[in-house]
Amino acid sequence: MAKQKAFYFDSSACTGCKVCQVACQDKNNLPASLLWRRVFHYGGGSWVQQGETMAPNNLFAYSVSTACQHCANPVCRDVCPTAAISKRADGIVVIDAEKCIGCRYCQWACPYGAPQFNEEAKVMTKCNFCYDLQDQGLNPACVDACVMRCLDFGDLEELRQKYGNLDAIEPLPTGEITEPALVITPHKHAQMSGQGTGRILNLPEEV
Amino acid sequence: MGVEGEPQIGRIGLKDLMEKGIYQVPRSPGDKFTYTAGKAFREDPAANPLSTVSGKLEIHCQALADIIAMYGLTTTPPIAQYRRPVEGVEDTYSDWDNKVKGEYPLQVMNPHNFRRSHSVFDNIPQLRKAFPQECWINPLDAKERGIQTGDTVLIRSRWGKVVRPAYVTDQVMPGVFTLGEGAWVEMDEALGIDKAGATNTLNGTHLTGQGEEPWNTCNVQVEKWTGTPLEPDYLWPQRIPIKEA
Amino acid sequence: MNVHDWALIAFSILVQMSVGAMWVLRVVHYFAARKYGVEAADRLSDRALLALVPVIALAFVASLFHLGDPFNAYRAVTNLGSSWLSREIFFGVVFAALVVVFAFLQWRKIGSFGLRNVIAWLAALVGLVLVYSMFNVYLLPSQPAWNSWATPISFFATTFLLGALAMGAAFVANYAYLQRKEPGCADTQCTLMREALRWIAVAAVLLLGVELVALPLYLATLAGGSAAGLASVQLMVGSYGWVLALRVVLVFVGAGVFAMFLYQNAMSAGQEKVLGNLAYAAFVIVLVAEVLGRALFYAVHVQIGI
Repeated sequence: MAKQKAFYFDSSACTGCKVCQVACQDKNNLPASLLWRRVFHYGGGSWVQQGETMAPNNLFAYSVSTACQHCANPVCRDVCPTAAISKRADGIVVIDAEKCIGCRYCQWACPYGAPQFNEEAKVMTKCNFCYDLQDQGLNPACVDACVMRCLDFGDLEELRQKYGNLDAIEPLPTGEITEPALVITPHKHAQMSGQGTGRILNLPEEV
Repeated sequence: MGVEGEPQIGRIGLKDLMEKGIYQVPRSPGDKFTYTAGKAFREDPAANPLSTVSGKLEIHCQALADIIAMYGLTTTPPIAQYRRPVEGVEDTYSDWDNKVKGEYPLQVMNPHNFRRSHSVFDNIPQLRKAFPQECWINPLDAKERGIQTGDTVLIRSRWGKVVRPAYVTDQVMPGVFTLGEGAWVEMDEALGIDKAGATNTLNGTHLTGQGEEPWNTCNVQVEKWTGTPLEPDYLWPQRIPIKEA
Repeated sequence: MNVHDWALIAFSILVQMSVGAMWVLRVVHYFAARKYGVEAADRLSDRALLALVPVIALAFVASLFHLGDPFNAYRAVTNLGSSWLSREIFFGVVFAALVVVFAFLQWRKIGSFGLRNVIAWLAALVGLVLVYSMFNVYLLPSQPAWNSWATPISFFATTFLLGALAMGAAFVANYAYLQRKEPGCADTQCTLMREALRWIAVAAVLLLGVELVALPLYLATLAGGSAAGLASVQLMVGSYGWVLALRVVLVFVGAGVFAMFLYQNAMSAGQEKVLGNLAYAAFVIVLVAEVLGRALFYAVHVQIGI
C-alpha cells in the first residue's frame, strides 16, 4: 500500500503556546491574517456558589494544534473545478497556486478549515506539510518549532502502531468525513468529537 | 556544526543534546555538588553567629522594619502579617463590612501574555494575531454586564481607561479580571482611552517603601464599549521604533 | 455579505431563471404551434427568446466576480471527473452556447424548423442537467444547511417559477410591441398570450405550494440534525428572521395572490393593460423573493468543523 505521510499531535503535552502557528507563518512568509496551522483552545465547566465563595465545577481546558490533515479522502481535491489540488504519492495534498481561481469551493468542502484565501494573491492556500523541506530530508517547520515536542510526522501506519488510532478530539470534526492522516494522543480532559460539552475558547479574530 | 576548531570533550555531544532535549547531571548523596548554606552557623550557632542584630535567623526582624520605615513612604511590621494592599480586594467594596460592592468591583490580575516578553516583540503582527491582548472575564460577571466573547469592552480604573476585546472564560474566578501586562500604549488622545490595553494605564502612582508592589493590585469596572468598533491590533500599522542609522 | 456572495446570488438566480425560461418557451411554443401554426408561435416567443441572451451573458459576467483570479477561469472545466462545479460550468457553457446559437438561427430564420427545434430542445435538456449539476455542488457533508433534499427542490422550484413569470412578463411586453408595430396579428397573439399567462399562473401557484411546504419541513429536519445545522436554523429564524419572513410574504403575494388575479384576468378579454401590469408585478415581486431566498441560502450556511 502506498505510504501516507501523517501528522502526530500530542494534546496531553500541548501548552497552547502557538509557536507552531507562528513558525509556519514565518517559514512560509505568510501575512499575519493567514494561518495555515491554527491552535484552538477548547474547554468548559462552570463555577458554583460554595458558602461565601465560588468553587470550580468540572472546569477543563486544553489546546489542539491543527493544520491540513492531508486526508486519505481529500474532498478539497475532488471538488476543485480547475484540478488545482492534487495528492502526491506520499499522501501530501498540495494546492497549485498557478491553477487556482480562488472560487473557495475547497474552503466550503473542508471540515478542518485548511484551505484559506490569501487576500493578496487572490488564491487559496494551505499547509503543504513543508514538502520542500521533507524532500530534502528535513522536518516541517511546526514539528521543529514545538518546544514541548508535541508534533511529529511520519508514515500513518507506523504512527498508528506507535500511538493508536485516535484521529479526532473536540473541536476537530470526526474523521469519517474525509479520513484525516492524523494521529492524536488525547489530553487527559479531551472530549471526543461530536460529544463535546465545552466550546472553542479562542476569540473569533484569533483563528 | 559549521564551526571551526577542535571539539572539546564534555559530558554529551551537542548533537545528542539537541536530539534528546535534556541532559540530567548524575547526583548522589554527599557528592561534590552538595552544599549547605550557613554550614558553620548550623553546626554551632553560639560560636558562629550570623550578621543579624540577634546573631540568629530573624523571622521577627525589627531591623528590617526600621530600615523600611526610614525610607519614609510606608511601614511594614517586623513579622509577616496580612496588610491591606492598595486597591486589593477590600477596595472593590464601598462597604467592606456589609460586603457592598463599590464603583470598581473587579480585581485585576496581569499575567505575562504569551505574545511578548514583558513588552518586547509586542509589535510583531503574527504574534498579535496569535494572542489578541484580550481581557479575561468570568461568565457570571460577563452575564451581569451583557458581555460575550469577542465583544469590545471598556475597562475603567480610578486612574485610566482602556478598551480591549473580552474573552469570557471560567479559567478566571468571579470577581477577578485579567489583562496581560506589557502592551505598547496606543492612546486615543481625543477620548483619553488607551486602545492597546497597556495595564500601566490603569494603575495609579503609589509609592511604597518595600514589601508590596502596588502596581500588582488594581480595581476596575468593565462595561460593553459602545463607541467606534475596535480593529484587532494585528491589523494596526506596525510600529518599528528603531530607525536605520 | 460581500461581493463574492452577491456575485453567486446573481449568477445562480439568472442562470436558473434562463433554464426555466427556456423550458417555458419550448412548451408554450409547442402548444401554440399546434393550435395556431409555427408562425404565430414564433411571433409569440421569438422576442422573449432574444431577451434571454443578454440575461445569460450577464449571468456569466456576474460569475467571474466571485472568483479571486478570474483570468484562470478557463481552467474551471478541467476536473469533470470528480468536481460538480466543473460539470456545472461545463454544462453552463454548453447551455449558453446552445441558447445563443438557437436564438441567432431563430432570429435570422436560418436552417430548417426541424434543425432549430432540435437545437432548442437540446438546450432545454442541457439546462436541466445544468441545474442538476448546480444543486449537486452544494451537497457537501461539511455543509448541513445545504446537504439536504431541500436544495434540489428549491433550485428547481426557483428555476421554473422565475422562468415562468419572466416569460409571462416577456409575452406581455411582446404583445405591447406587436400592437404598435404589427397590429394585424393582434387578435391571435392576444389569445395566445392569455392562454400562456393562464398556464403560467397555474404553474406559479403550484410551485409556490412546493416552496411553502418544503420550507418548514427543511427547517425542522435541519434543526434536529447536527449542531451546525441547528446554528443555521437559529440564524434563519433569528438574526435573519426578517429576511425569511419577507421572502415568504413576497413569494406568497407574487406567486399566489398576483398569480390568481393574473389567471382570472387572463380568462376574459378586454383588460390587457391590467393583465400586463399584473404579469410585470408578479415577476418583479417573485424575483425579489427568490433573490432574498438565495441570499439566505448563502448567508446562513454554518460549516461543520473548524
